[in-house]
Amino acid sequence: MSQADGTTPFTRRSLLKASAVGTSALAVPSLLGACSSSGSDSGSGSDNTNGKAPLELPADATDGPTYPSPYVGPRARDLKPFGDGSTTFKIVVPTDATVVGSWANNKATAYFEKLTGVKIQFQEVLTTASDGSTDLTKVNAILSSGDLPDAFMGIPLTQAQVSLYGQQGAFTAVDDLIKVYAPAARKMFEEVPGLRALNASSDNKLYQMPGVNDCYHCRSSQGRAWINKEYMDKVGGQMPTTTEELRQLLLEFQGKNPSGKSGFLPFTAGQGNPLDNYFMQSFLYSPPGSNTGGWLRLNQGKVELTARLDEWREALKYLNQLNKDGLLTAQAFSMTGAELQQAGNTGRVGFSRSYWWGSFFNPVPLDANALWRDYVAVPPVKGPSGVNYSQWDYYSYSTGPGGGLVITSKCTKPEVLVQWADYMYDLRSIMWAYDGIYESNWWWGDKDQKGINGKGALFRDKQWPAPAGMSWNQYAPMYRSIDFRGGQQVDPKAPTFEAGLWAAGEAYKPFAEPQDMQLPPLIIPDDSAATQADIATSVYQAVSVGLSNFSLGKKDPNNDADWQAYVAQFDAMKVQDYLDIYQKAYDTRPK
Amino acid sequence: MAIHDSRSDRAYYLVNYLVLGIFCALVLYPLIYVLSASFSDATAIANNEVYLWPVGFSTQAYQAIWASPRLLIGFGNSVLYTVTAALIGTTLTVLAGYVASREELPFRRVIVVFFLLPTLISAGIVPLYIVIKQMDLLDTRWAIILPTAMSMFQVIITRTFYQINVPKELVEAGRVDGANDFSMFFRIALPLSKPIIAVNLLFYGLAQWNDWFNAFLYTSNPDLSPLQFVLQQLLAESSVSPSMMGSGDVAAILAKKELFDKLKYAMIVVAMVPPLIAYPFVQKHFVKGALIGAVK
Repeated sequence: MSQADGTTPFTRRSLLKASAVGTSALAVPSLLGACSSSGSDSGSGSDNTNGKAPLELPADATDGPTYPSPYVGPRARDLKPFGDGSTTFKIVVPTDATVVGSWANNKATAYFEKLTGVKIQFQEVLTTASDGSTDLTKVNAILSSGDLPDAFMGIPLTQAQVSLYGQQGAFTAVDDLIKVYAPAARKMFEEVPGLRALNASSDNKLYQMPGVNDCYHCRSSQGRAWINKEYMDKVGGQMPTTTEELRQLLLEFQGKNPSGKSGFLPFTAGQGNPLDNYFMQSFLYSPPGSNTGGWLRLNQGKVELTARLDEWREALKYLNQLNKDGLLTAQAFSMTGAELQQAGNTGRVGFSRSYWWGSFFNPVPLDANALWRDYVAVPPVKGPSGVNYSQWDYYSYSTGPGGGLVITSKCTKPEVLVQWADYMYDLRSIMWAYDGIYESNWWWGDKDQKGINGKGALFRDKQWPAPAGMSWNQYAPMYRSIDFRGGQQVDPKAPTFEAGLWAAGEAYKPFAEPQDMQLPPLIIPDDSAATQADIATSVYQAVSVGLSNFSLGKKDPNNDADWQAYVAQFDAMKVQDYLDIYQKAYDTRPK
Repeated sequence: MAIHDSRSDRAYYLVNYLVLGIFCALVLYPLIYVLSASFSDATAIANNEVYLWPVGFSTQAYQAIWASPRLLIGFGNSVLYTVTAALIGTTLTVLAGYVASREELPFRRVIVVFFLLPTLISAGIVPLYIVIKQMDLLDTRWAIILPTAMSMFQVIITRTFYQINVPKELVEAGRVDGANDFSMFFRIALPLSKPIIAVNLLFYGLAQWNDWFNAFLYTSNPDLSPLQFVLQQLLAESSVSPSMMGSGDVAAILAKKELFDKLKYAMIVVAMVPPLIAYPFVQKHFVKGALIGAVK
């Protein structure tokens, strides 16, 4: 890494890459230094729990909301300040001028200082590159220089980084502290059984106060498709249930042009909206993929690559057929987001393989008769052999360090920060942190109103994100369970997206693959991280090029030689080593 | 009686103006487009309706920028950093370049090679961060100016300039007239260096004006941010990365998208205008100075 930096001292990419791989060679010695210098006074944290009886959850607050029934999630309780203000804790947080504004002068900051009695000094760090991707250059500099703060909050470190730095002694393990100081976190772990395992490090210790943000529709959003129901009515079609019905409907679209506009696109997809997320699911369960990994699933506990299975070939044959029909063209791979939105805005989209309405509309106005409201989610269609999965993500509820708190070994009173984080899991705190001022931007739900899940409303808000300077956006440790998010009140007169997206989630839920087929997020150990990253890039190349070549007829999926050549590529790039890395990480994952 | 241009002259001018006109349009069009787009309605931009003039005239974007206190502070900071960095950088460069050009300097080659070392091997971000931290410069204005105060590229141009414009003969003549090293520099070399000073001021000023990385790495106090860093933050906060599509809230994505559409062009205009105004004043020196220094 020092060599890479030597030639290009100021490229953030090079450092980013190095950090994505796990760590930088430079980071290691100083981190160990940080460990040896302060490891003795805080250690694993267990010293601070000696002799103290576990704290109990306080009683429910009398001025809290009415909870829908059944309800699993955060509750508003009578919290008393516990800090004496003697220590000011330094916490590194992401810069967010548009929502948080100045962290020091933020209204939620003042609220939490009063609520907990703990004084926090925030250090703002930009963690996003100008293309919106994560950029941890500065965080890595802070970590490597040994200039550690007391904690990092909302900083999107990867689980691999937390695991590695944690074991090197830069972060404090919090398991023992949670047992004593964090009753709300204990309740959360009880209610969300998989949460701890998803956030534990490879030494099976927990080096962070994790977050839960359980967005129901997000669990299927990667693999959704949308269709215009007005156009469907116009051609006399019905919601397709099989791949063949879908094809027939698209052909109707093509033949009759229900939009009446020139340049009508019966079928769309594009960059950032890959075809396989939806279409493969009619042939086999295949998770999404990118240049950092993916297309891996579990088959009886064994990791396998879906993109070289025979069912994948069957799916390619179907896509190839759509190409022969003139429905699927090169545009389905090349269309940019902006082009797709221009087509959507002018009503020229019939069917779209994309994330949500905003993928093919810009802006997405909230008018009752806005064009986007015509589009409904198409539940996974059955393939010839009767398969239809919905690419359900069972693990997306965990925010990781990007919505949690990582306490460093520099912190001399980690128990205070653990309890501070525990107060963040309270319902009222969650609302303050993410939605701003009570009775200014949010209220408890009205008694006779419904939430987006159709049960009683838990809370309602005026706008999200809250006006600048009022909230902490989504950076604090949170416990936004599925029932909590479902309890967001819907105004029947001015429906937003949430209720429609919830409905889309409901439509996909019945087709979820069995949970033991999904490969959970894993921590790739540092010594295999480079191999993993290399092969992942090659796999991505081969799969995406193969997908477009076979779909567009440049290669013939019916021709055995073409298929054999495609499959042989994976052996050439040592994909077995790649699978072995994942298999090992899976078998030894924290439980 | 006017002398008529010959036919070939007229043809020459015609072709000449035509080529220059096309070239001018190529350069001008993006500028006009950005300016028009910054005054256009966000929907019109999204639908690709803006070609040359604003569509659905709106000053919303500029109002949003004006309403953001960080941008105004950033603008003030940027002016301060630009002026300071230009002065410090130019002073150091002219001093170093002059000295390095004098053949009688002992160990001249060693010194120049020593100067060149950091451009060949650079330590990288983390060691730099540690140096700045140990000098107690973190979160100060100096951390934004000093780490990139002097550029070796500029020193070499300046040295070459002096080798050509203050030749050995001139130095010997000065010696005969009794000038010591200081008066050699201040009374002979410096009055001759107006073009190279202008070049240095412009290069250092522009580099500092465009830089956001020092502020990003070495400061956490928003009050110290230069304009480019504030813009960088706004851009970062408003960009939707593909990975967010997988997990993000649609409300968050939408909020970001709206902000981005509103601000992107106006931000370019705000950052572009000051150098655009300053350029013509330095430009005549700039071409001359950079060329002179570069020849050898």
